[in-house]
Amino acid sequence: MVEVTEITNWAVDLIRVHKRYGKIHALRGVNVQVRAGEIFGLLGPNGAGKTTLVKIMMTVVRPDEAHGTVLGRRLGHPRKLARIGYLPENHRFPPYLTGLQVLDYFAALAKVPRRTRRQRAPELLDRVGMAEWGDTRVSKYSKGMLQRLGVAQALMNDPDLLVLDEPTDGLDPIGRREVRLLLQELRSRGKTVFLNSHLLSELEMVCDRVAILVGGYVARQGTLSELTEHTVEYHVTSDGDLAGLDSQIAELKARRDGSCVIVTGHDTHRVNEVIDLLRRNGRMIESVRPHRFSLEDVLMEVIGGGEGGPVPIARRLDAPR
Amino acid sequence: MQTWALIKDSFREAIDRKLFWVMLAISILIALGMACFGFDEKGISVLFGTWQWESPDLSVGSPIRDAALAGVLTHVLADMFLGWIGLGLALISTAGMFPSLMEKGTVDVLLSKPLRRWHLFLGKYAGGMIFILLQSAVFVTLTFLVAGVRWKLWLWPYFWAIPLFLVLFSYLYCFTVLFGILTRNGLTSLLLTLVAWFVIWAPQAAYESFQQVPELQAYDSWYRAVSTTRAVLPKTREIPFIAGKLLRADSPSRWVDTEDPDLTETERGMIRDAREAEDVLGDVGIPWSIGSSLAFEAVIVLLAGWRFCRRDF
Repeated sequence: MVEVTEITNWAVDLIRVHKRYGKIHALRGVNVQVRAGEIFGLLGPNGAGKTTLVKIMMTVVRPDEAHGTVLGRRLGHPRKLARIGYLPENHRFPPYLTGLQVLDYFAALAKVPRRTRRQRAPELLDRVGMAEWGDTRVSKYSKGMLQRLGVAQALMNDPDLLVLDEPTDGLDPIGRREVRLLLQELRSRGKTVFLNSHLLSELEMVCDRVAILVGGYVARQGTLSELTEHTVEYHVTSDGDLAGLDSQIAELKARRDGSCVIVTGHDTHRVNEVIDLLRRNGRMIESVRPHRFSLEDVLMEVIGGGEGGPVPIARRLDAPR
Repeated sequence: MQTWALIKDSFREAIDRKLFWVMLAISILIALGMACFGFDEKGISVLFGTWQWESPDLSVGSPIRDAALAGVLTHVLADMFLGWIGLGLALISTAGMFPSLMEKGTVDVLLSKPLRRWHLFLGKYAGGMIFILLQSAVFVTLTFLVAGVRWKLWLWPYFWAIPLFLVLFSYLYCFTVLFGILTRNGLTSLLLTLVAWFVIWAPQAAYESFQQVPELQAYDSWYRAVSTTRAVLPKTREIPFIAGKLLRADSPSRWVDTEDPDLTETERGMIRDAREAEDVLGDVGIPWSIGSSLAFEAVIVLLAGWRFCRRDF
């Protein structure tokens, strides 16, 4: 059931989204908020419910319960779809159409005027590096070419919100970089991008905020630094055997890994105490390196039920000013 | 804009299929075959004058010739070819339209557009119908022109074959669409449509038997059950009779002269019985026949549309 909620300043404001497929509870009260003009990443293991959530946003799937808005309109409102560009995972285009015809067809369905379609289609094909392939049938395209065409298709209606499910799937490194640059350019123009991707390194490069979906609920949501700030470590590497200093190292709330002493947290005072300890015992300091957890490390921690375990329902954030 | 885009896409999809070109080739071959026969004031020529057969009954202006050729157009081309072969090919052509629409990755992009699901459904439905309309229009126009130029027979009512064929096709296409949405498989939907065709055909055939053998009507409960079922279901078997009425062509039983001394009494009796049965069966109320059939079809289309709009993809 979808209820009307008040208009907020969120580009995407999903509240208590539930979806069952028979006995499988795919989404268990998901709350996700995306600010206008940011690049937002959704990640999680297979079967977490990411694609289901995206499909609910795009009205491809009907939720059992959902509240919230997308671009200021209630979830499920068809008119909002005119301002959204969508590229699903494993998308298929009619093989009997050429690249230009694909863009024209889907843009017409998005109510883009004919003159605009004729002007924009070749521009976007050029933008995604497919200018020479516009008159070639889609059946002859490679996977990477189809992906590029898909990105162009999603941009034909100059959307305010771009929803991309695995946008760099099948692309070579050059193509991936081009997509990243494109997304950053869109953000600079005030567009909002909602990314669903398994490539965590790519999300780290472009996303402003991310949400981690595990088992049908949001386990973590926030900026990359918010998600990783508790996972900073300092690695102090020394020469020689440090086994005899284990008890003193433990007193400083650090741990030893071979000839490396690891201090967790932002407290540089403890790092200096470890350095002092090693110097007092005649050890030479070879290096002091900060080590920040990657998004992958955070994801593994969440899935593995690490520190604090997964949070059943992420708190709904306050609306942006 | 959206509707036109959907219809254009359906048409492009259809002409991409080899079957479209096969149907077009068959239409051209039949027209060429017809063109091999020519009629003039003397009689008939075959293969553009290779053989000539003089006969007053086959010459231009002969009512016997006109009636026979009108019958050929109506009962052979429109009824047999278009009504059976054409119908089968049309169902095969369109059986995969909705299953391919609903494939994962395809339907996602379509449903993400500001397009109500009913609009998408009806647009694709109309696309299939328009494709078949064009195919039948090409066939009928080609054969009409050949009949006019080579046979000197300009049978303008022959164009009624186009809407009649479309109506006949729509009676079964609605089932193809429904089963295509339920099963998401073109072949399965086609097979189930053939089953539905049989289910529609059976009470009609039974009803005709009751008309041809009035004594059977004594089985009152059976007769009423058959009549009621037939009244509700689409009346595919009445289309040829409607065609005969509209095209003003004699039924095949009237091509034979019962005064022919070579006929036996038994054969004359059979021909008279056939004519009587045709008179009864051919006494079709066109508005009721087509109207009630389209009403049933509307129910099936509504069911298919409802299912399409309600399902998750």
